[in-house]
Amino acid sequence: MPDDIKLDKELKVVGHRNVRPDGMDKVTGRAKYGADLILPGMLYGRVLRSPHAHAKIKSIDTSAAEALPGVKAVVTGKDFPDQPKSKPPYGPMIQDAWDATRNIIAREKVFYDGHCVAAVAATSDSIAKQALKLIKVDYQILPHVIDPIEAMQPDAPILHEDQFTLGVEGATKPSNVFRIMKAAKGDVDKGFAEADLIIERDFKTKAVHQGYIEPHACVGNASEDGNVEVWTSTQGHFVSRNQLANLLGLPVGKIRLTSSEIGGGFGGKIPMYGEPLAVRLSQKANRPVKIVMTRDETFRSTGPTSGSHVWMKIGVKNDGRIVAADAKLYYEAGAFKGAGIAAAIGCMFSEYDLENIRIEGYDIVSNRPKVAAYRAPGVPMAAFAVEGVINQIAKKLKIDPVDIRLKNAAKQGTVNVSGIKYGPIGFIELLEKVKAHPHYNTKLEKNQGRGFAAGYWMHAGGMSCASVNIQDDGTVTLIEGNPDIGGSRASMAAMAAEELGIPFEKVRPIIADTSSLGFTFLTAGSRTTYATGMAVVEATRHAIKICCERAAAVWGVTPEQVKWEDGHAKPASANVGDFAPLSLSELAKKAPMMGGPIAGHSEINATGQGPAIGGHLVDVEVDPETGFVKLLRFTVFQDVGRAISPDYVEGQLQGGAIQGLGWALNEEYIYNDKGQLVNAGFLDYRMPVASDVPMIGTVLIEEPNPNHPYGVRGVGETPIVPPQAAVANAVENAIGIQMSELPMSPPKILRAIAADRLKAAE
Amino acid sequence: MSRHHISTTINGDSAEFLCDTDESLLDCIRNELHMTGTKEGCGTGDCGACSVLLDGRLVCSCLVLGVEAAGKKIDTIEGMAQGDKLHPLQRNFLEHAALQCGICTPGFLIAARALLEKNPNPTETEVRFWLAGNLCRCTGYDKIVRAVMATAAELRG
Amino acid sequence: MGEARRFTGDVAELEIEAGNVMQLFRKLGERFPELAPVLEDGFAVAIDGEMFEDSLLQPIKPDAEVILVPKIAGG
Repeated sequence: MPDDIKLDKELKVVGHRNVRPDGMDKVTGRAKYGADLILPGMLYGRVLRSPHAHAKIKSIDTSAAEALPGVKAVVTGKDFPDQPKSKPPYGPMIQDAWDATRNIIAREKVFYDGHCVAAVAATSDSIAKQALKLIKVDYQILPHVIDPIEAMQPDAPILHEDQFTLGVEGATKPSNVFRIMKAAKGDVDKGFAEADLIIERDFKTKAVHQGYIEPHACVGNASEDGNVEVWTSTQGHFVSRNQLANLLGLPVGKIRLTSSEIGGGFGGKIPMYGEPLAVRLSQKANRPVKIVMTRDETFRSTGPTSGSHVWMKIGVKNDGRIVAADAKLYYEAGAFKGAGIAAAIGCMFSEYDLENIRIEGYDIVSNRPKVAAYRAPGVPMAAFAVEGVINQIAKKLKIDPVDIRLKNAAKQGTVNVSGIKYGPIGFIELLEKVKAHPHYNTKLEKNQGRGFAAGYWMHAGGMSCASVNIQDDGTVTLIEGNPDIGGSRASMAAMAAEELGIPFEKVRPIIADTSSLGFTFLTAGSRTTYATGMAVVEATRHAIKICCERAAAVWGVTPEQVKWEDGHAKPASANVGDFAPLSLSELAKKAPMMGGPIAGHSEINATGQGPAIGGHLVDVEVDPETGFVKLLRFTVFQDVGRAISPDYVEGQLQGGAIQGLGWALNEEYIYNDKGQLVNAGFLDYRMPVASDVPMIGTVLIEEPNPNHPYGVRGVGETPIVPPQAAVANAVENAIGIQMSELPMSPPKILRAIAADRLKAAE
Repeated sequence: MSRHHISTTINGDSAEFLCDTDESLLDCIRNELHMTGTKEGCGTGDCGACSVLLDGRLVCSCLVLGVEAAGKKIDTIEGMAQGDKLHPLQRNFLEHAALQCGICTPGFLIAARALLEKNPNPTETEVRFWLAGNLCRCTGYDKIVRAVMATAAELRG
Repeated sequence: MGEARRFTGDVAELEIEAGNVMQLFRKLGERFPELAPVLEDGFAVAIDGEMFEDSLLQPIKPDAEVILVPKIAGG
């Protein structure tokens, strides 16, 4: 529950705790997710995956599988047209087409344990599974490499013989480093020369999975006339449609994707995995094909985020003012280029007002699944290092950890490393709230520690469309194009209802399929409530404009003489005349006789998104005998711009914090010496459960983004940036030992304590 | 391979289905009876998304074979509301915003109902440990625990 | 220009006359042919501190400061 929230008294719907329109279906089991579509004649698809981390495919023999009764189609890489290399940008959510087609189904080589090599469709799931066993793949096993630093060594196995490092002049040898990205501001060397204290340190984090509870699932249905229907659990069906057209060589207009309800994504449901396979199988079999991943497949073949090594050096004056910051980021991209280095560079120091910054980011391929975006992709690993060093500096200089951040806090007018100049931004207010909060001022007992860390995410804008149809009884259908993962339909409906001046319940929000609305970019980057929300407001205002024009015609005045207020067209002033207000339902009822249906629409490319800064305050207790870390108290502070649906804003803050806690304490990808993932299940990949955590306090700071009609900034990404460093700092303060590696699992903490005791004894 | 003919009771109605020997109760409920409210998150009994009651006992339906349901009584999420009247847990999940993506919600509701039938006055710790077999990746559990506690208080009157 | 310096022979700053982003990209591309093919897809711009992505028609005022920023997106 929020400790503090400002509700604007003038707003009747926005900012209130409305029950989400899709909630009823979700508590009754009626909501249809990716695996829940069952079509007549539907076949079951299954995927054969590589058991090897790196191998050449010498041959694939599918004849025995094809001969098995009940098998209707088999596909391999040869069933897909090859793709040319495409242009940048590359990242966790944008893939080169050459890479993308190879990640979906291997061609010349397999690049990781779990890489898809073939897929079958059969009349039952058990026949499909039997068929997989009959496919013979002749592999030539190659040496593999997983760790990014090892992958950079001159003798490391090379994944792509034609990859030469971008950003290195005259590179003549192929390399696993796809690119070295640099950014700088000011004069770092001069800054260090002026510093009173310089701290330099290395940090390591492991690859972690997004961990959505719904595995990837889709149904592909191709008909003989070339039309293709796809039902899928995705964060962006418009983006997937365009990629699917490209990967299969089909016209975009022939393909219709419908986004199912989505059982969590966190960035991991941006890339496609099963969809092209299901469609290709369906084209061969002329029947619908469903492909549902197992949890094992989800871990081995999708996600995760990068494992990382980060080198960090920060120089400060004795008063805590940072005068120079220098960093090198080494991120695993997985089998294909595109680690989150660009986002890390753009965000890692951006909650601070720093003059001198230098960052180098290495995008490194290795034999793991291609990384997918994971909530503020790339930033948490860098923030873990930045915030870790700042906490260490605060301790050395005996400055309060919040005060040192106040000393360096970004404010309106600050220019970050990317050249972005901030408008109003609530970081100072946030830090002051932290200091004044009871959580910050309670006493701790033995073996307990408190940690604080901050984090920044820049947010995304981009293309969005919306339509608003006023029905003849005055109810409203709102059509938008973003899959709703965390309650966005509630926010869209709230903004439309607020504009129209009607009750929330009168607006029914619908997510259109790709043939029913213009292109709408991903539900990602915390862009949905910002960008699509803007389109919704614009579309609603368009409908209101039509209502006002109709009222003007009825009254014989100009449209400018009509205003819209509380769900009614009213004379803009007493001078206009004494006309009784016309309600939305009255205007809607007469619409057929007054020019036709009333509808508004909007097609935009949103810019002007405002960043969001968060701060996490964490208390832990460490058991020195077992190394177990118990979370005692967690309070999340964030500048949210404005909370359209406060319930779901708090939910984003709480959920992000606990994902970050899992990242900090337990979660990691563990490989054996053959490069095979050995903990591909929820039992061994231990995510936080209800009994691991207490209630999570939230403090919403509302410094509205002036570029959005309701001040929205976006909230979902920022809450996963600070928790790793906040937890690490709390553990450090509890045991008095510096922690630089995640996860801080019990064995690692015990080792750290033992090493410390040994050192003390010497 | 001949399939087994199973007669069972689901949400109070008699039901019959055919299943393979190795087919899980979860797959039978979803693929044979087409009741897709019960979800699969892992298939290994770790996430609780497939929670159902089997003769009143809370089980992961992915760990039960379809053939084991013969002659037994199954309760799933589809039977939780009575007509258009939601179970208080369902209503409180909505009012407390105890779901985001909603995929884990049926499992949490079934598990929470089993708890409250056993223990009408659970402490927060008891709620958290009872629900430790249900994974949620979106909410951080805060609002789920609150919704369950609020329902318990409401049902006690 | 940061990341774009790879394509500009290390030129970091320059003055260009352009009324909008498209004109700016065209002139930059003429001056630095290696930069031309990557500009539209690879870069966003910060105009006087405000970020614009995929906004070729965004006007640029005289004496504005424009920074090329590699495109980024989230999860």
